[in-house]
Amino acid sequence: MLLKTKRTFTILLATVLAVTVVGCSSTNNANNDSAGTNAKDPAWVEAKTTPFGAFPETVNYTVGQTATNFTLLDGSPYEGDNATNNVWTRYFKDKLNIQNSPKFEANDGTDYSQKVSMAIVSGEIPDLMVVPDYATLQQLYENDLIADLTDAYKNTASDRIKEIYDSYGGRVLENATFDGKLMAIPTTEISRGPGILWLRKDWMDKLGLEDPKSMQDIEHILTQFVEKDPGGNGAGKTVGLVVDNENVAGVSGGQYSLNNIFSLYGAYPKQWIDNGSGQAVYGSVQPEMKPALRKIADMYKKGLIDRQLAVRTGDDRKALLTSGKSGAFLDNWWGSWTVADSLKLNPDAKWVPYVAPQSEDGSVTMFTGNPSSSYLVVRKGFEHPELATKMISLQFDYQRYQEKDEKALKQFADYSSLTVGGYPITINVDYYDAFYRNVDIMKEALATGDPSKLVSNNDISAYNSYKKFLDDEKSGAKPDSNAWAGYESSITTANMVKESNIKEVSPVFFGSTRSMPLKWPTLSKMELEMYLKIITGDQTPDAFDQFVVSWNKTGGEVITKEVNEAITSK
Amino acid sequence: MSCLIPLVNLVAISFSDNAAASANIVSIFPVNPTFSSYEKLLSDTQFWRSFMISVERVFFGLIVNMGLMILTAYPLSKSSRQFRGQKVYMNLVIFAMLFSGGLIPTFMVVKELHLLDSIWALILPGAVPIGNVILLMNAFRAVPKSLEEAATIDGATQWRILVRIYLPVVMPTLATVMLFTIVAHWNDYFGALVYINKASNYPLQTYIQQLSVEVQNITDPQKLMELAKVSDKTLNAAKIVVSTLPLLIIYPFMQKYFVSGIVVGSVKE
Repeated sequence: MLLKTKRTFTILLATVLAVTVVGCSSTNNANNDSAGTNAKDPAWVEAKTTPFGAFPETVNYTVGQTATNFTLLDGSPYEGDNATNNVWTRYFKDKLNIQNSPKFEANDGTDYSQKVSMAIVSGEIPDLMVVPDYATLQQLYENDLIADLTDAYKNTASDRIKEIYDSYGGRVLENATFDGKLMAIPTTEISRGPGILWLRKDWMDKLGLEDPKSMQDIEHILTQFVEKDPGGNGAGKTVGLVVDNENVAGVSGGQYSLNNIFSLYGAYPKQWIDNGSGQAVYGSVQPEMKPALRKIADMYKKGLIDRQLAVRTGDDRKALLTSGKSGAFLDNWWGSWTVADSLKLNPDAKWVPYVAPQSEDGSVTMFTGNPSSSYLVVRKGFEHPELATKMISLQFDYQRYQEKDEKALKQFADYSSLTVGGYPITINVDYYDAFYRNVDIMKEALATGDPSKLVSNNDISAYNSYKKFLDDEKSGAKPDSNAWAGYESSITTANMVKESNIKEVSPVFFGSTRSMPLKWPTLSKMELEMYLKIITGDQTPDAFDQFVVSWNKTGGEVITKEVNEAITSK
Repeated sequence: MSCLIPLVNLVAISFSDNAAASANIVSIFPVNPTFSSYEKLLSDTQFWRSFMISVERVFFGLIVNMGLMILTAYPLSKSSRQFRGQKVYMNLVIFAMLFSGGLIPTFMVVKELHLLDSIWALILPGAVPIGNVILLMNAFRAVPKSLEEAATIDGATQWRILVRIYLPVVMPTLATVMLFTIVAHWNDYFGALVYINKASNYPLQTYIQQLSVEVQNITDPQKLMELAKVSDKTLNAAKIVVSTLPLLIIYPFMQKYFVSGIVVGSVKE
């Protein structure tokens, strides 16, 4: 109910937005206090044209911020820090001489999107803000509300930042480019890697099971888990593979999602993929889906998949794994965090990641995710559009790679160990392969005990916690479950992914088209019902053909055409 | 009785170990009992700040709502012979009950009045809850005419009649409406989501909603990983328990007004 209201609310906002935006474009009056007079001053010129040059006078900017829970700092030396005075804002003040003042704050996700829409509707957008979707960015551009950042990027983005964007091969910046002008600094969504199968190793050892590779191996292990009850849950009470019911598959790096099984059959649900002849087609209605669905329905019938998947909530799914009712789930490389609590309840629990199921040639195919989903924009008329790129450069290059001041770095490390963010702008700029990029260097450092080759400050602070984890493990002390989860995801799994044979399929379209707002919700619902009905055996896999027909009739065909038009017009 | 089970379960979770809570093995008794959630809660400054904001809101909200409700309901309860145009006003009121301005227009009005980010943005837009007005109006109408007539003969003014005669007589309804108002103000989280721009100024329920709602629409792997690391089920349960306490305390005090009306025996016919 709540969700529904929220959705209606967002749609409402979007509609009003389109109407009002036009009306308020004139209200943006630039207050040029310093820009005009000091344009020739060398100190100002330097600040405006170099990535790390500080402004001679404090530049104040308003910003739409995601809310941070600063109370987590209570009891630490940072107690009393807030949205305008914390480690990050002080760092920005210190290095660039800029000071934020939030125009609005909200939780990341839906709440933040609402605030952005509200700001646009009321005609008062902050100097800097992150817009959470492409459609809003497009509207802002079409109504001439945001500044052109082409020059700012050219002059004030550091070399490493440019290198990072280049690691996506232009995919990311292109997204924010309109008529040859860069209108926003897009976030970069690092590769989520392939789906990872997480299994209870202690159960496998108890039953004498081999590491899985093929689909048959996995089915064998699941059968043994369910039948032999290695966890002592009582006969017939062990649950099979834990699967999400809203996104059975089709979300890049999705939690509890069956992407790997679908891709084994060459199916890429919910992705717009190239059908080999340059045409974009929707993955969920391709014939490859049918054998995959048949396999999954068969597994469900045998009890190898959670029989109650249709009624579980996110909490329930996690609980199945934490409580030891189930010993298998498909997740991504940070899946260890999902089950970290199970180690607290049962010290013998041992989770191990596998890149599986592999096809006959030993490879796993993954589809890549949307490389950029949110965009940092600058209000048109704000006299320092270069602020956006300077802040990005400082936060994602200087602080991560060049800062050598131990005292400053310790503050950042303290913040992150208390899981407090605090940065005025919540986007991320990192290499596409960030999660396994430096794993070799890290492994070498951990083996030799010499961290001097580590390049980034994040790695150095991570090194210390991994080192402590390994030492604890060696000395027989009970390692902290969070330390285990960190090491298991960032070292063990990252290394495994790096050494596996991973093939990537890149979807060709992530945006929205004209008919989508109206028709997509119905189509998505049809699709969801199709998955659940076929998997739970309510309908036979042959019902898939019927689904394809009605999907096309209900608007799928039109949308496919629009998607192809959108791609060719780019 | 079974309606109490979810509440008991919540209390049990708040006293349990976090790992046990996330494994869903807590039913009506705490597992590995601990006070750690409540200890953490005591030191959560934002929680108490939001708590006080909610108290403030209920206090001012109650004064504004009750005042306006009584002043609207009393004249409307009169017949059109006593109050010319009563029908017109009544229809206006009902119209306003059925059709609201909608979220965006209301937001724009609040913004133009410069109420954004202030506690009045949470109180003034809903200052006259019409459902309650009608409830109160009907209570006034049920008061026997003879009471008013008797008072008029004794020389009482309309103000005096309202304050000294009508209000004491409709005390049970007044108490009910008061309770509705308190509960509505205390439990509303949505208003602040829309009208308050600083997270530190959220009232309690909005603060809790922010913690317990499942975050949606996030696809960035880095953010998702951060979310996966947080596991605070027990602390959140403790917050919810503490936030319901004030209402639980108020109920018994209101109870005595519900027992009987005073109308009984006020007139003989």
